[in-house]
Formats: sequence, C-alpha cells, structure tokens
Amino acid sequence: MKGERHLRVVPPPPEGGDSARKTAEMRLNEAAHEAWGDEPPPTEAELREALELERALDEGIDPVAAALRSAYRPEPLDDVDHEALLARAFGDAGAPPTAAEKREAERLAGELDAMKGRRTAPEPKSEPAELSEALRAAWAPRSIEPLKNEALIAKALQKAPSRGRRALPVTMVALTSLAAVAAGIALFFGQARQLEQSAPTAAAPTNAGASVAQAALIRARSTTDLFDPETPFPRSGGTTERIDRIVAARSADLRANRFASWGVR
Amino acid sequence: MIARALLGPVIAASLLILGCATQSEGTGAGTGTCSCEPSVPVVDPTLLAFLSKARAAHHEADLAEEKGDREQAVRALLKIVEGPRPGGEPPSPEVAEVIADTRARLADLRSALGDFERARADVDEGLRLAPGVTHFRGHLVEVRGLVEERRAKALKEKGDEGGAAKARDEALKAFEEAIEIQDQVIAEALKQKEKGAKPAPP
Repeated sequence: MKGERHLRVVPPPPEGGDSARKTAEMRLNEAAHEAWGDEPPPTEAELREALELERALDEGIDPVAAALRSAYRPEPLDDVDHEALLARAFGDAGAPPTAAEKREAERLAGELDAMKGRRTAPEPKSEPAELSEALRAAWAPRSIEPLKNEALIAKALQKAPSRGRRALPVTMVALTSLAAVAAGIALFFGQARQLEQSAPTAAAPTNAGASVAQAALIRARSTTDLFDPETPFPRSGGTTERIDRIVAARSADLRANRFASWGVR
Repeated sequence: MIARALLGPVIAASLLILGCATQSEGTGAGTGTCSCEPSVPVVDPTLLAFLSKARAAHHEADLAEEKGDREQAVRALLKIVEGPRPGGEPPSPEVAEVIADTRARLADLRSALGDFERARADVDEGLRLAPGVTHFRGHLVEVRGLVEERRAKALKEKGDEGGAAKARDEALKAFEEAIEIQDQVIAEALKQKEKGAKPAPP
C-alpha cells in the first residue's frame, strides 16, 4: 500500500430491484475508487485489523497509542490511583488496584467467561487471556469431542503409508550403515597413521598386509640373542640368572613400545 | 525387504572394521594382535607379567633349594608351567623358552628326588616347546642325560643291573645328542660372526 489509508463509512446499498442494486454497486465502486485511488482495495484481513485497531483506540487500550497520548497530553491521576501507586512504590503489595488495572481485569474476566464452555475455534484474545487459557488447558485439559476425535484419527491414518509395515526406510538404513563403515575405516587408518608418525620403527619391517601399528612396536621373539651362543648352558643351575636377563631385556622392550604408542621418540 | 537384506551384511562389516580398529587401542600400550591380520605378537604388559612371575618363582625355588627343600622348589616352579600362558597355543617365543628352561630345572629337581618318570615327562614337554636348534633344546637333552644317569645309579643301587645299563645307554645317547646340538649352535654362531665380519661386496 502506498501512503496512508483512511477508513470511510460507505453508505449501504439502497433497497430495490436489479437496477437499484446495479446503481448501488456503481456508487460503491466510485466510492472505492475515490477512497483508494489506483491502489487495490484492502483485503478482509486488513479491514478486520483496522477495525480492531479502531476499537482499541476508542477504548484507549492500544498500548502504543496510550503511551503516545500520555506523553503528549498526560491526564491527571485520580487521588485513589495516585495513593495506590505511591503505596505500591513504597512496597505495599496489598495496595488497591488502579482504575486502568480494574478495566483490564474486567476485560480479562469477560474473555474468560466467554471462553468457558466454548469448544469452537477461539476468537482473537488478549495476551493474558491466551495465557490463562493455556494454563487451564495444561492443568485440567478438556476431553475431546467424539466427532473431533474420530476426525483426528482419520486424518492421522490417512497420512500413514498405505503399504506394508517397514521398520526403516531403505535410504536411511543404507546411509546409516555407510556412515558406520566410513567411521570405522577412518578410525582404523587414523590410528595407524598416528602410530606411524609417532613411533620409530623398532622392529623388522612388515609385509604389505601387516598393520602399521604392529610394525612400529617391538615384537615378541626368541631370547637366544641374549645369551652367548658359543657358551652352552651349564648342566645344572643358572636358570634364574637366565630368566633375570630375559625379564630385564623385555622390560626395556615394553618401555620402548609404550613410548612408541605415546608418540615419544 | 531390501532394507533388511542390506542391514545384516553392512552392520557385520561395520562391526568387523570397528573391532579391528579398536582392538589395539584397548590393549594398553597398543600391543596385542588382531584376528583380521596375521598373528604378530608384540612385547606387551601381559608378556612382562608372565616373565616377572617366572622370575619370582625361580627365585623362590632358589631359596627352597638353599634350604634343601627340593619339593618346595618343585611346587614353586609348577606355578609357571601350570599357569596361564600368554600367546595361547603355541605360546610366544619368550614364553615357550622360559617354560622349556623351567621344565629342564623341574626335571633336574625331580630326578634328584628320584621321580624319574615325571622328570622324563618334563624333558619331553620342554623339548616340544623348544623344537629349534638352540641352547634351550641342547640343555634339555643334556638334562635328559642327567636324569637317565641318576636313574642308572638308582637302579644299580637297587641291584637292577639290566635296568641300570639301559638307563646308562640312554644317558650316553642323550649327552651325545646334546653335544651335537650345542655344536650346531656354536657353528651357526661362528658362521654368523664370520658373515658379519666380511667386508661388503663392491
């Protein structure tokens, strides 16, 4: 819409026959043209909103208009309201309500009375009335009318797939499974790469199929290289000393493996 | 139907891969093996735990022997050979060699106690774990000779000349075999030493 629109009272069509109706329509069109110019006529929603605003302005409950009016031309307070506001400012929670508060309360009571027992779609309400209705519905929800219940069930069933029951859609299963496989592969290769970067090769190189992580660690192996091959074991005794040597050597190997797995060189 | 058909194989594959990826993570220092690849045991805490246990048992046996209590020494060493073995079957090389050496000591102790049959069983079990040409095997064969030598002496004291002669022959045979094994080990060591000392070919 361009510029401001002004509401005008359009005269009702005169009673009479077809010619009279045509004449009335022509007058209406002319009046609309005069009112809106080249702009398209307002929609029903716009008209309804305008009427609502007009009513709020008349009753003095539109917050923006009331604030503007109070700022531009403040009205004197009643003595009762003045005393009540002062008492409240000094912390008296039991101070009497002001006239404006009483008006709001009465309006809310009227809306609540109108809502009581109503089962049809609600009309536009004030914010406190909507809050009150929500609280009431949460505390003591009303039962659904049987016909409405049937309608809701029928609507829900209509939305359900007509084919046989299926646990999961094919696409979802396939995508989830692929994601799991990809995560497994990433974990596997990520860990192997980390070990490869952090640990020096302390063992013989592995074949192509062996894990990189395994290759980076010292393998279990024969202990014969810990003993002088040119000196056979004594016939009796010496076993404890041999075990001591084996444990000492493999303790060092384990320490090296731990450092390798931690990425310490 | 397609979803159900896909679900099984894909989940199985995912679990297999995840299992491989997480197994090495769960074994402390990144050790252990995965069933998805060739078995490559590494030096890990489990192996060290076994070796430490073996060391403690041998020291316990030493103390028992110092007291002259061979039976207690045998009981101490049985904790090694009868307990759990890391690496399963066959055990890892270190485990196999430690058990083989322990079997040799057990055979020595048992034959000194006169229990020749169990001593021979110890030697046989040790030889099963040390099939290669090593000093461990040579030592076991030598202990077999020692066992038979003691048996021969015991039988002779009992007046069983035939049995004693047979045991003596067994002992001689075992000592010869032990020398042969030790010779092979020494020869192999010398060969390796000579190979390492040779200058690299141009």
